[in-house]
Amino acid sequence: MKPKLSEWINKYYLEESHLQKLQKEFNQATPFEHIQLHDFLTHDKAVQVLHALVDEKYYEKESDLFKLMQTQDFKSTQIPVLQEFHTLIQSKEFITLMQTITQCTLTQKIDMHSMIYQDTDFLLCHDDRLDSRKIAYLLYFCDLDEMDGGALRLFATKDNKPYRVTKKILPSFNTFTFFKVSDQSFHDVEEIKTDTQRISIGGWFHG
Amino acid sequence: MDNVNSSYNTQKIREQIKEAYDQNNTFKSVILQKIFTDAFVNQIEKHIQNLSPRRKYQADSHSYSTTESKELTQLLNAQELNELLQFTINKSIKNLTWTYLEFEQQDYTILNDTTLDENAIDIIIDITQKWDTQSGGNLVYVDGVGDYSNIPPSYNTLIIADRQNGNKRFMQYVNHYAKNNKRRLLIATIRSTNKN
Repeated sequence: MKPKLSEWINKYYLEESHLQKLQKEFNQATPFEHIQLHDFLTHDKAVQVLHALVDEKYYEKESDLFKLMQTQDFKSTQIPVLQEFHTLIQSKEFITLMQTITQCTLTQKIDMHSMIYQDTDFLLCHDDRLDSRKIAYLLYFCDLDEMDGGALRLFATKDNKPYRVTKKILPSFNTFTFFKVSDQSFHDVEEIKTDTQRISIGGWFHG
Repeated sequence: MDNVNSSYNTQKIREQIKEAYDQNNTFKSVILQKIFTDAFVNQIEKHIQNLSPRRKYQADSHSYSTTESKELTQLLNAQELNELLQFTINKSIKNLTWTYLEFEQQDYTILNDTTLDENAIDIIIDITQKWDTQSGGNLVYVDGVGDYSNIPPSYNTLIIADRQNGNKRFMQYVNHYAKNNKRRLLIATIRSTNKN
């Protein structure tokens, strides 16, 4: 059965009158276009998704740029709640919502994984540009403090190179954060410095 | 003064080192522990104490401190060491330029660090003291087909690694367990076109 936006998404974000405001906020954000939507899912659905993630398999991933745990793409998940969530985010209705806020032309092609960062895990600075990626997104399922690390840090650029961090976004439960992928969208994830878990679902919308 | 440990100074051992270096055609490398005598290491340490490394930071490429020193270069262009290097890599070596690098907490380099000479042979002296292995900071070589060689920190160790044939290196991110400790390396490179 096709999931309904109204059953999943906080109705504030489905009202036309609010979308214009969000569009402006997104486009005027610095150092590059981004936005944070707090209490994005209905509380019940957010909790259901978090509980479903416990049953998903995570794999260690490590390279010069990152160290974290990640699932396979949710297009192949066997867990019903996560299947439904994937269908919802990929739906025409949700893509339309994203297009309205970002003013980017998007297709129904998405990538979706869950990531867990634990003590010493990190993601170094990069711009996410690859193939047809247009919007990068993260939905957080944890609350972190400054001392935990794990902030999403956005860089201002100078001569098209990342120059300095001008915004830090601490993960907050059920906050949907997304940004425009471009030659300016340099960002990283701070190292986790405590015995905690930074849990998120994220990926890209394509166009 | 003797600088290289006498155990590396016999012809038989040098031939074994060369054999080990040449063994893997796609990634020639060899690691020699306790390379220098205690007296020579102490001299190196004394020089390093007087250095003032400068920060080099480009977020999408590298983060570390570095400096060069004529005195250190002169010290390290020691005959015994250069003879060992020449024999191992089968290239003439006259005057290598040595650079000192320090990696502290949150420092790193990535694979696509454009400050790195491509197609060169790395000569690296590791002088990192008492490293906590959970701190990260491994020196990692990646060959042309994506296979990794992890070289953990080891005091007074010589690493010779050929970065031709598409081989690259990076310094793994140094995490918070490093606290105030630092990865310390002395690096010289020999370009493949360098006839010395």
